[in-house]
Amino acid sequence: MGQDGEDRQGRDGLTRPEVCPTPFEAELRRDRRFEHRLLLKEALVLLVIALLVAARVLLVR
Amino acid sequence: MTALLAHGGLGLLTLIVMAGAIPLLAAFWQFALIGAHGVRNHLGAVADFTPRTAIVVPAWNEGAVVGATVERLLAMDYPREALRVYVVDDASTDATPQVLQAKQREHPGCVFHVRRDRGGEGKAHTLNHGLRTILADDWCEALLIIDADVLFEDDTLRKLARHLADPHVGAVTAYIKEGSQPANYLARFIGFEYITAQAAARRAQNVLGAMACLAGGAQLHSRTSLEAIGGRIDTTSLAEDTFTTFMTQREGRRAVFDGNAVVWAEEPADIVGLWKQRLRWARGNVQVTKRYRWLWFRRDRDRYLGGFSFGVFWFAIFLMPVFMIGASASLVTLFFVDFPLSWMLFHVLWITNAATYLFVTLFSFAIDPQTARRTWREGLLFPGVVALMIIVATCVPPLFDRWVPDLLRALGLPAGHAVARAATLFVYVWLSTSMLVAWAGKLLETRGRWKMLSPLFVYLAGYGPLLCAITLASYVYEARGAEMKWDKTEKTGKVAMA
Repeated sequence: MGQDGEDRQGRDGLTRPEVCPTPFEAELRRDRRFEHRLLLKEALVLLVIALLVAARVLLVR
Repeated sequence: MTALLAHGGLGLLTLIVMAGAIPLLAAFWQFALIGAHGVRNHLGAVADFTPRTAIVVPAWNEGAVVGATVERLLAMDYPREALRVYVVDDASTDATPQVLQAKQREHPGCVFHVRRDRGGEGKAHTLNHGLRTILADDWCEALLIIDADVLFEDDTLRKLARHLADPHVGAVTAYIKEGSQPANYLARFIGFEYITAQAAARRAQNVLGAMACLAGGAQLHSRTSLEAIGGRIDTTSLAEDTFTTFMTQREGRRAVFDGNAVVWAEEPADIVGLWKQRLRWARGNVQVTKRYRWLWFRRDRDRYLGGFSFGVFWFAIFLMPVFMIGASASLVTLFFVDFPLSWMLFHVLWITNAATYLFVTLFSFAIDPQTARRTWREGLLFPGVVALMIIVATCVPPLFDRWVPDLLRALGLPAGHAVARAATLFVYVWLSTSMLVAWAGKLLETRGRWKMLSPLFVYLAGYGPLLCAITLASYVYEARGAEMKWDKTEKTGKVAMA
């Protein structure tokens, strides 16, 4: 992350000023990212449970 | 006719057993909603907003901790000119007045000592005394109600205040974490419980748009919202926080939870203290349930609080002892009447229990890994050692069907039909008897040298059944019309941020 006013070159070769997030915005981004990740974590936990259920079915057979 | 009655009876017993799965399915559904919080939260509507905030601290004999509390509040990352601390001293008899007068001199215009000469009426009365003083002046735009012993992280107030930029929000609450140092077994159980009951459940409530309760230790109200509900806290019940939350939402404003705003609190260190605190909360919930009886499951009366999911979550907790006792009693009846049916229902119930346990426990660890690192043992043992063994037995049938009996026979111990029947009856009634064992743990705590056995009983019976036993006790107290006494939870000032 650059400082205020620092330039950044994109893939298209154009140079545009990089806007540094304010501390408020940076904190908000972190918090929103944390909330987004909960969805992924939930999916992972459900996957683990599904695997355990599958293992149980195989074991009973 | 007799056959029809018999079928009807079996059907009814089957229904009652399966009703035992309602709290489990409700917990599963509640946790499933949390994923949706990733996209359906209030963070999209916040702004960099720091309203002039009056912090209200009710204090009674907090001389040992209140000075440090004031200093920490003033040191928070929040514009100093937008912060005032009002400590409402509920006729303390210790050094609280002297400590506060010194702080008032040290921080003129920032710290205020509001003294009540006659106290002991409870937290709500104390808060109202402070609110009258604060609202008489037009300085404050928001009011933060806290407990004297809680520790706010530097950014907590700022994170709460950002939600008030949305005028539709009336109140915001934080994630209270158990912070006793050192943490005994009970503190670790509470630490894990708060992941499930706050970090998880309140996110789900955010998704539904209906909040059950703003945490008493950290609730930020906009002035407009607090004035709309009368500028005071309800004093007619033992659940002033829940009533305030419901009233805020009934006035058409949202109550929001921010799980990233963290507050540390010291919770009871023994079962007797926990019982006292939770009995008050549970009795308060009985009062709320009765007072709002016209609202439950009635979306036409309140779109959010009257929603189906919110009602199911509320009653799954409120009626949990009824579900547990009903399921146990029906299983035992079916044991004598139709054993194969009872065995099948028992398996369905406990496999549901196993799936919910895994989902709730693993997801709770993922929601708050920091707390999970300290409380993982208590998280795993939350339903109790015996319940865990039943879960394992249900999920791995050969273990108790073949392997354990073979082992018993090899050791020369009885493993015949009678033992199997006794074991079956034992596991059928465990949903109910676990509450009795947990209650016995509380009784042992006051029995001198037997006290050391008390944690063993909680680990065996489970912390969940202990809370269930308290809910059951709350029915009895409310049915008897017991006195509404606000017992203050003893605090020792041993809370620290992890």
